[in-house]
Amino acid sequence: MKNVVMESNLILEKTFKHAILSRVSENPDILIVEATTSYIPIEEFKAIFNAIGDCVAKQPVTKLIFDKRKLTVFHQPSMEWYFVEWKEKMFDLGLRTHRKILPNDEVFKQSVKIGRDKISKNFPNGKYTQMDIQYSNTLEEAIEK
Amino acid sequence: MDESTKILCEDILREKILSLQSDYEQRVASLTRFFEEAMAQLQANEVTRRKQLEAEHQQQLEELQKEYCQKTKTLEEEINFLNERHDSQRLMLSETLDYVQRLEQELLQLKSVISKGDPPVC
Repeated sequence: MKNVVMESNLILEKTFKHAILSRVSENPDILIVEATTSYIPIEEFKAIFNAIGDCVAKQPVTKLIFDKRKLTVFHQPSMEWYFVEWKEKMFDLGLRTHRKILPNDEVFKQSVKIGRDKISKNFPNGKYTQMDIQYSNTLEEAIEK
Repeated sequence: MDESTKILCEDILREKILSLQSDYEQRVASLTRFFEEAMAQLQANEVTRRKQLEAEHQQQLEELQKEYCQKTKTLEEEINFLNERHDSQRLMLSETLDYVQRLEQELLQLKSVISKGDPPVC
């Protein structure tokens, strides 16, 4: 029986206007970034992930979970920056395992697929291709696998 | 009453009247001083109170201005956020529409290929 991840199992690292960053208390090398609104403006998106980069540089992080369940609007330029620039840096810092939890929104999921296809086509040799990137249905599953 | 006693009584009376008058005048002067001091204090208090009210009013105006500046700023941030989200939503839907149209094209082409490959109906 899988345990439900309670708020008490998470240690709050930082709060942003549109997201929160936490660490799993039993596995402090796992970071979770949870979107808290339907959309994250690109400048804040970069600020959030740059802050994650700072955490990774200070203390080893082997897995990042991006909980996108509250998002309803997908932004291609943000995704490109995330894959092509940010993940390149994270690969070198040792963060190579990524888990994503998508919202139950077919339009959003399809947009992610279209976005990823574009990135694969335009940036086929990025280090993101060497990463372990998977989708999960729940936070528990993302922590476990 | 003989004349000398009468004169003596009149002298005593005059002195008492003078003494009473002097007392009266001193008391009037004292009362007047008290009144003037009280009026001066009242005027000084009014000036102080007026200055205090003016300072409080100014402070309340500044706080109100600050509150409304903050509310305006929050509203502007909210509008910027909604505009950016709206633009991203349009981009997302536009890309999805392009993708669907591409799929439709591919489907039509596939149908065309299949129909050319179909054997003639006898």
